[in-house]
Amino acid sequence: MRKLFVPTTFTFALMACSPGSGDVNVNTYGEDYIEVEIPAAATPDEEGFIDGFTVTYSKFLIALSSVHLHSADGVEGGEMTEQKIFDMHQKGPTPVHQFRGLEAEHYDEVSIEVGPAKGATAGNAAPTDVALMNDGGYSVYATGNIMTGTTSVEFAWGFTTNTRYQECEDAEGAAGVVVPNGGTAQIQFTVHGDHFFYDDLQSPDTKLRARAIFAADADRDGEVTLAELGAVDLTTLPTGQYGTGGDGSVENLQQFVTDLSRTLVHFQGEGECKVVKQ
Amino acid sequence: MRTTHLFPALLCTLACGSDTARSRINFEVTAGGLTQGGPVTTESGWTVELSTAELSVAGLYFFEGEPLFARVDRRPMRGRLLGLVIGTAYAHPGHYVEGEALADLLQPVTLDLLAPDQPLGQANGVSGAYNSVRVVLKPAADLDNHTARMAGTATKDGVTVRFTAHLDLDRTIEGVAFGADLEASGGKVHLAIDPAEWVRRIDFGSLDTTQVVELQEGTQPYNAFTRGVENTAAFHFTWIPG
Repeated sequence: MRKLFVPTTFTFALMACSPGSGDVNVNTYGEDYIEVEIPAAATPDEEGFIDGFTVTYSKFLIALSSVHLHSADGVEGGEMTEQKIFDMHQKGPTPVHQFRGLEAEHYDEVSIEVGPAKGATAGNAAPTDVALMNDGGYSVYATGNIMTGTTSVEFAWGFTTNTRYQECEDAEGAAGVVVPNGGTAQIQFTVHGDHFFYDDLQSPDTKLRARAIFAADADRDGEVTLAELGAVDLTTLPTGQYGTGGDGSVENLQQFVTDLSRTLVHFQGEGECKVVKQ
Repeated sequence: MRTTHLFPALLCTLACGSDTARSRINFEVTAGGLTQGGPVTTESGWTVELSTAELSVAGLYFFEGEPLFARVDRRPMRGRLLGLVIGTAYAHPGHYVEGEALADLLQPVTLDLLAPDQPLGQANGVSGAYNSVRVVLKPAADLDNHTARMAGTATKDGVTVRFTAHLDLDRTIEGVAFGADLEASGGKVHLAIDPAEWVRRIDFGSLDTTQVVELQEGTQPYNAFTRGVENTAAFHFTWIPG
């Protein structure tokens, strides 16, 4: 004879008080702009470079760490403490971390850090690329080419910026992540490869341009380096381009793209995080 | 909503279910020059003294969002359900998000930046955390239909350049930093604009020394002047309690 489960008042009380538990899967994704190409805009109103260039990444390494979930009312979700290197040029989305058995809760404070690699391990990056990041102390390292017509220049830029992306909200303004009882929530830290080619650090009307960066190859060796970008004073570029918004200390193209290296990570596609320089 | 009056938005801030209770406030706004033309040493070592520095400000809009690298979006939540969006990255606005509109002042005025304190008018708005300001620059009739105008001398190693310059910009400067929690009327906001930023990056070495020269569009000096006028670092907002 089967035993019938007869809930008692005590059991009901327990059920009412316990929020249960759930999981969170965290992944990262470079989207088509990093995996395939950033195209030229067919018309000025369409997405892509307005000056006719295209950019293709061959490698886009990023050091992710300190993924942290907690709620404003003090519930600690968890933290991925190790640092991992991901190559966003590989097809994604790519798993970053799994949080298991978290209290079912709205974790409205979600954050992640992109900092200089030190003892980092592979996310999906090749061992040689992990070594490259650790040896150089890079947080972001991107290689690729910038093309117009049949002419192109290569680039290989490493950045040691240390940036925390916190208080992340999705594109609708919903903060963090809701962990359902008995279910699995998804977090995606989306990396936007087009940001390196913004022509303004703050304007809502920023455009994608590559002409000035392409032309910075002063020694005409087919590679535009960060040092060559540093030799391009913004005051030598046309007005209306490369505005520095709230950061008046940015005076050349190297400083400009370095600032942009702090804006790459988004939340759940087009969502935003508060960007904090470390 | 970029150039229109924010009154409807402010009404909505009061009535549309914001997480934060707002109360109507108003405050005086004054403005003037920060360095008032005193000698400025440029990056290339020129010593500049300004005899004219004027700017036409067509309006100020105060917001809750913090400027670049310090954004806090305090918009009320429009939904708490997680919405996972996986799509293609598109060029989109920079990371400055203006957030809620809190106050505005739409009294056009031409400022003499060689003087310290001039009235801009009364701003009307709501209480809240004021973190950024949009400054609208437009040509003005009392500035000969220019937006900005300057004149002065630059000296280096015994060489003196006498110069004039003007801009006809119709430009909105987004995300100027401001930090004040305004809870009630009284007090004032002071905007100090530093004309030193207008000349700090100009290379005067390329200019004629035999006559007064007008900075020409397309040149480095003109470009540096334009970037200086647009530089948010030139704008300093301060709250002075009543």
